[in-house]
Amino acid sequence: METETGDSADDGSAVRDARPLGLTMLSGAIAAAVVFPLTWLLLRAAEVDAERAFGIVVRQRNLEITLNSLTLMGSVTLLSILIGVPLAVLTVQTDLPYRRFWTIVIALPLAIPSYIGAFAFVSVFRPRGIVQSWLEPFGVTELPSIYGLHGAILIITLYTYPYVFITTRAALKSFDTSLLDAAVTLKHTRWDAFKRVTVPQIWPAVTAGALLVALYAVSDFGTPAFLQAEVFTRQIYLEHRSLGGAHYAAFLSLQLVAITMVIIALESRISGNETLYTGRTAKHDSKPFKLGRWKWPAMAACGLLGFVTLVLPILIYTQWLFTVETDRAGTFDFELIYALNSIGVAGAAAIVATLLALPVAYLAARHHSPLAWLFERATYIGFAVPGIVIGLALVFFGANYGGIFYQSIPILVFAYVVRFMPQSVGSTRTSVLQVDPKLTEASRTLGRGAANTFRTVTLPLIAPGLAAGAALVFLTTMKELPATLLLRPTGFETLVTRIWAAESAAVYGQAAIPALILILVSGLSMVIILRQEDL
Amino acid sequence: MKSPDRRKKPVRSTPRRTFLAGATLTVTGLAGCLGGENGSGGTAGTTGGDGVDDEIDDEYEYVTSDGTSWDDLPPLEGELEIYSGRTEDQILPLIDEIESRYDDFEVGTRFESNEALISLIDEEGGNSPADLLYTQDSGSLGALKEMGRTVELTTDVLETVPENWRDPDGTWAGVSGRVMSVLYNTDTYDADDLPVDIFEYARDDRFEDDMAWRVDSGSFLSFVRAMMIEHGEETTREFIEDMDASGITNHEGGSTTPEAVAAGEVSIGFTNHYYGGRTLDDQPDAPMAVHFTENDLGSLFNVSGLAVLDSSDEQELARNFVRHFLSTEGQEFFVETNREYAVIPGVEYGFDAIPPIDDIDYPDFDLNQLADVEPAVDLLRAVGYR
Repeated sequence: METETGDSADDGSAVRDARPLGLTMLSGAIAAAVVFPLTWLLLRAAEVDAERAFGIVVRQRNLEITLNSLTLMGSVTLLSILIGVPLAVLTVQTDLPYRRFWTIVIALPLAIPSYIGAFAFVSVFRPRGIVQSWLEPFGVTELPSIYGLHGAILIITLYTYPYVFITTRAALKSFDTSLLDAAVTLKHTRWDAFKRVTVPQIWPAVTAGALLVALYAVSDFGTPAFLQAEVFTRQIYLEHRSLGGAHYAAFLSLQLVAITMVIIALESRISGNETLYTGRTAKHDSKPFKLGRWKWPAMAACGLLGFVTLVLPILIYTQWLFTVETDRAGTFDFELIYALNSIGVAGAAAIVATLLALPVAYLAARHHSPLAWLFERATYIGFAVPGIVIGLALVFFGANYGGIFYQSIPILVFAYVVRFMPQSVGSTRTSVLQVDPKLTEASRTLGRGAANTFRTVTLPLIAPGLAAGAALVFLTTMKELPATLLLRPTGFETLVTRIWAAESAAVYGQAAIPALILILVSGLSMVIILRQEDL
Repeated sequence: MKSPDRRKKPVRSTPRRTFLAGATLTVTGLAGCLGGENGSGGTAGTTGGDGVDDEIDDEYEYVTSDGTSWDDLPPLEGELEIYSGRTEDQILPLIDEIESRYDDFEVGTRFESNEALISLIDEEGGNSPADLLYTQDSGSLGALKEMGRTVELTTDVLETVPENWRDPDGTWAGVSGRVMSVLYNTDTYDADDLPVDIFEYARDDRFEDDMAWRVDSGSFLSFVRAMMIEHGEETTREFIEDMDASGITNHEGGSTTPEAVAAGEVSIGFTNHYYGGRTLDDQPDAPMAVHFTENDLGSLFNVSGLAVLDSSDEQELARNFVRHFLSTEGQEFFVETNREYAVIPGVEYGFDAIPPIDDIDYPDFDLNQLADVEPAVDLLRAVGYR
């Protein structure tokens, strides 16, 4: 197998990794395992006769949904960059007061499931909701509708921009600011210096975060459904929820997968694949940019963002907690086991995803072969596929070929890994890229074996990246609903299944406790992510 | 969203255990309904189940339409897995109560939408862990039957439920009834102001931008399908387009519409009657009442129902479980907790805010025609609702 290309091949000493064949095969097997469930889509799509299939794909409505989905994805991604990058610069390179506090506030929305945010937003801003009742005395009888694509774009952005914020921050922290100082000394303006020095350095990190945002936006179901935005996910759900819609849903899903593959391939083109060895040698002693009077509007902006994304939903849910009393809620009483179950499966998913991501990400970072690229990119597809599709695919394979594993925890955890592994792959790959190969070369030259070098040199250096990736997987697994509903063992309840059950029964007060605990636990894991970069 | 105001007094089913203990021996053959000649397999057009009549144990004391107490039913022993298309607040208390009556009886329940569960059963194939499917409407049960995944119920069960509210081939039985209704805000309208013809609502200017309905439910699909069968596709399409043109709000979720009417967001809402009943239970002072159209599909009667799966290895136990739903205590639960209608005459509807089923002029419509709702799905797609 011709996997050995690029620098290590012509490097006679071959100290980096003499035997990528085994690693390549391992990566290939992992990539195949996480892409495999999607073959179910082909099975379902193949059942449709050609004429009907053609009619499904070319109709006007299909075009609208595709356009809406692309608009949603593009707008959310762009807005996330516009919010995430400046805030990252603000919290890393300026003298903003209480920077640690604001960093946590700005990153924390990622811990709140967007459907919870959407729910709170709709309560507050809907045509005759709370805000309208405040404005009533001033003659405002109706607010502009929050329903529709624009509402979905707004809310998904508010809860996913932290992906860009976090990755950009990490890049800013590890990049050599002496370059920036040099640029300023050479009479570039701050803006020029930012454009010419900072942007190229952080660009791979920005696009890596933006890719996660784009894929999350296009796979999110709760928010578009709640705001009635007509995009792929909502349509796929509606079709699965109407009898005889499974075939159409399969076609829609395949279209979604096709679009996703283009995006994933594009991102690696845009971001380039440059190595960032600067890693831990960066200087941080450069003087931060002085905000002066601008610190007030800057803090106001951070505060407003925090209020809207964090305080508002927490207030709304807390209010429900205290106002709602119904005898019908008897079956919705909170039990500690729900939280433990959530943490248990999310923890298992985080560990498994990290272990599986490691070889894939390491290979992709160290060996620039087409196969390494393909395997790494392949693991991203699952992140864009709606949970119900992964769920039903694993129902099919699990029930028919899975024996006792059907409706068991291992299959559930596998579904999470398929969905969320790319977050771990991305974070791990970046951290491997930051390890200067000279370090491992030195270790090998000194007589240590490949495995020993990896354990004693590489692993400690990439550990923060592994932990950050694991925390992201943990966080998203905590929020996952559709695959959980389909694949969990009967009677296995988690925080999100309880939120879902209470909300589908319209006993919102009973959704409040699990929702608040979910926010709390996820918030804590968010703090772990941030600590990895020495806040 | 206005936070729901819930100050409801506890309402629970109160089992009358001694009720008619001795009057339960009505045994009637219903052989005509139990033909086992139908083939099995998943092809369309398959009716009936897998021909397992010989396993049906007819030696028990049966449920009757006068009402049979749980005390008079054979005890349940073993484990059942129920897939439920109704939310747990609407059905789990009943399942729990039945489960707690017997020491060696355990029930597992999975809740999802009807359609998601049918997809689930379809993907699971013969290895489905489910023994019973409980759904919100007859259409879903008909679809399960079309897939060839049902078996016959017992004769007494089928005898107990009125003919229109069960499968003529005996593969599913309705266990609770609901009627499509017009909820209205009493601050805006009197009952006398409201049309008794469903089509009038699409034409009348008074209702412009002032109506809402729930479009994501099986009941809505059933309603659309029923209208297509009664009035043809063209008329149905026009009706939906007219409703849309009049600015009707499309809701998702069962309680959204009644709460919007109660809060005065809209004055007219179309939902099943019991959602109105439940909202009125929670907010007795809400300015809302229930109105019914007369003898047209605006007051379509439908049932929630149970079917036993062909892949179940506990079919006899599952059939006995169905009897528990159709007995006095089970039926009282539906009335008193959910505000639905009982499907047996032996249990009365005592709820002031909504008239009993006999006072409603609902259309005579064969629910089995609703098994294939795909034409309704296609129509809704065509008008841009999906």
